[in-house]
Amino acid sequence: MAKLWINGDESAKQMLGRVLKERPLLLLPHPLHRIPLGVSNIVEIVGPSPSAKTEILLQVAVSCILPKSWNGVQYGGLEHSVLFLDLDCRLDIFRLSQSLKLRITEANRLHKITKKQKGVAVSNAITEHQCEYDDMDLFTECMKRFSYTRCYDSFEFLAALKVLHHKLEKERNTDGSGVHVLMIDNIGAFYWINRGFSSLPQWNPNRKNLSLQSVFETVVPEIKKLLLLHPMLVLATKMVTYQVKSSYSSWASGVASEVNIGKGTYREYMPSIWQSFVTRRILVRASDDKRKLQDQVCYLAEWLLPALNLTDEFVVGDAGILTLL
Amino acid sequence: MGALKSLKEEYAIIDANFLQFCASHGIFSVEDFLVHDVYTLVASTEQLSNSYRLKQGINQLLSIIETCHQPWMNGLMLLEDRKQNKRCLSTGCESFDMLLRGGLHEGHVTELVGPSSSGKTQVCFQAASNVAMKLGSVVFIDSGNSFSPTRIQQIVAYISGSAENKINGILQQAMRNIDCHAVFDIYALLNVLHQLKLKLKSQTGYQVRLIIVDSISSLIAPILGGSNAQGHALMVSVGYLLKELADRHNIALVVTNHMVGGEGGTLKPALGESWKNVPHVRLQLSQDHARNIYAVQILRHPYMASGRNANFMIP
Repeated sequence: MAKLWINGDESAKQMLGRVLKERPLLLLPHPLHRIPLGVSNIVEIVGPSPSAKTEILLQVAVSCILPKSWNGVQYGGLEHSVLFLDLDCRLDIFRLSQSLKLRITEANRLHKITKKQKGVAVSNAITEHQCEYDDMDLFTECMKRFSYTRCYDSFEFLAALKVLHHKLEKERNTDGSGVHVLMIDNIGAFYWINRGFSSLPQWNPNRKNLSLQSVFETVVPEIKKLLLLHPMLVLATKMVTYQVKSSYSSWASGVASEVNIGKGTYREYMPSIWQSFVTRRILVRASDDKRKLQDQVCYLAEWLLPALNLTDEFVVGDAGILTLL
Repeated sequence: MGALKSLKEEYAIIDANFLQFCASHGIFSVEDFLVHDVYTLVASTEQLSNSYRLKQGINQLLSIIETCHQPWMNGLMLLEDRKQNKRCLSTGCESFDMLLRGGLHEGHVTELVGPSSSGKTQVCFQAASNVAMKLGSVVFIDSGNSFSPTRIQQIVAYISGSAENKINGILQQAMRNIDCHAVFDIYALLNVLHQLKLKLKSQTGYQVRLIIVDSISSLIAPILGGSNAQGHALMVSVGYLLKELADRHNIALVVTNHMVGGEGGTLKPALGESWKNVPHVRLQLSQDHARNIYAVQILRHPYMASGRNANFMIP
């Protein structure tokens, strides 16, 4: 009897296999590539405006909705569904479709080149046409994996979160893919409006104040409950503003201040319940350094949680995010 | 959303007992319900005798909430909506339109920013005239008494390419299409926008293609500053109202903003960091006084690289 108990249920290999299947690690594109992120991670992308935060979300979305391969062509996607909660109400779907099309075309081009190298006869005009037709199918398939809603105030945000479970449950029954990525574009969008609410009269001592604090005291448990039932990776952006005074003093204090400007001097305004909920945090910002590229703005990305002592540089082009070496 | 009491008429399950139960938890409105945990509420019904009915009431509230947020749309539906309903409005200025690949986009909030006499109001007049002549209704919200019908007349004559005394028909059509509101504080602006929203929602057939707020910064700047959050809250509310109007009713929105001195004496757009999140497109205007040429530069755009620029003339 005791022996049976000691024997264990599964080997480490089996367990790893099971865990990785249920809670896969997602290899996300640049600049989120340094750290393996899995479901149940809450990633916060912090940066002043503009710092390509929404662009990062969109590029991650493109990688998620693309399949790994389709009709023998490698697209290198993750084939996951994306839920996009737009609190800034500013997403232009054209940007997503543009990037997705470019990514598909690029993968097809590479596929043709490798085919040529292998000596396989290159397709003639008819199959070319067929190819375009298939690409439309692929495009449609991918775009369907992207779900979007916008919230004009924090109540719409709360309402969307409270009933999201029903939507996901319905979808789970129709198609099998379980893993989702939940994106929230600018978690701090309603900060000022909610601060305005906190001074409203209560009438009743029982009644909860509709402040930022109580909104997030509901938002965080709602997301936690969702994550229990539906394993998801959560990516949230947060717009921050620099404290002019301290950034000035670190600027004045000398050369080594660049990291300082990045790390400590933006103003944290989110309630502590949200801050402690975040498990990974990356800071992005525009670089002041314009030596390398004449026209394009260069952005810097730096992991704050866990703290990695290196900074990645990237630029944003039509095709998406490009790294600088 | 609103008071729970107001739902009593419509839903039988939301009765006096249910309202009393909610009141005991400090819930008087749908908003109050939203900041409560549903599971805790359900659990707290357990000790009560009418627990089954109360749970039904909670479920009823949850299904009401489903209608309280914007519907989920997939990428294809969004793209289709964009193709069908959100077009570009020509500003009547060729190089300006070229830079923006067609003009002002419906569904976008476009901000024109620049120092005084950089052509902001003139671009607004030109766009208003062109849209009113050819496409449909324009609402011009004027905070500086700068709206000038004679200037509109000049521009209409210029665009139509005929002498000012021969354009009566076109001019009348254009003037009829421009609805001008003089607004001198943020509350009046909110009032105009709310009424517009109501009218667009309730009157079928009423359509607006372009809304111009010139200038929005002169209405917002006075209420910012100090330690109170009210000014910022009002500013952000205006921003959401503009974005909602633009997206829901497929309207191109144009607002103008002035510039203030930033760090090191360089000019930067007014209204600060929190306003940056409002416009989809931010264009900076400037004037070359010597050559009487105006320049426009993209500072921010959802899908175009920032930094691109063009020169244009004002007739």
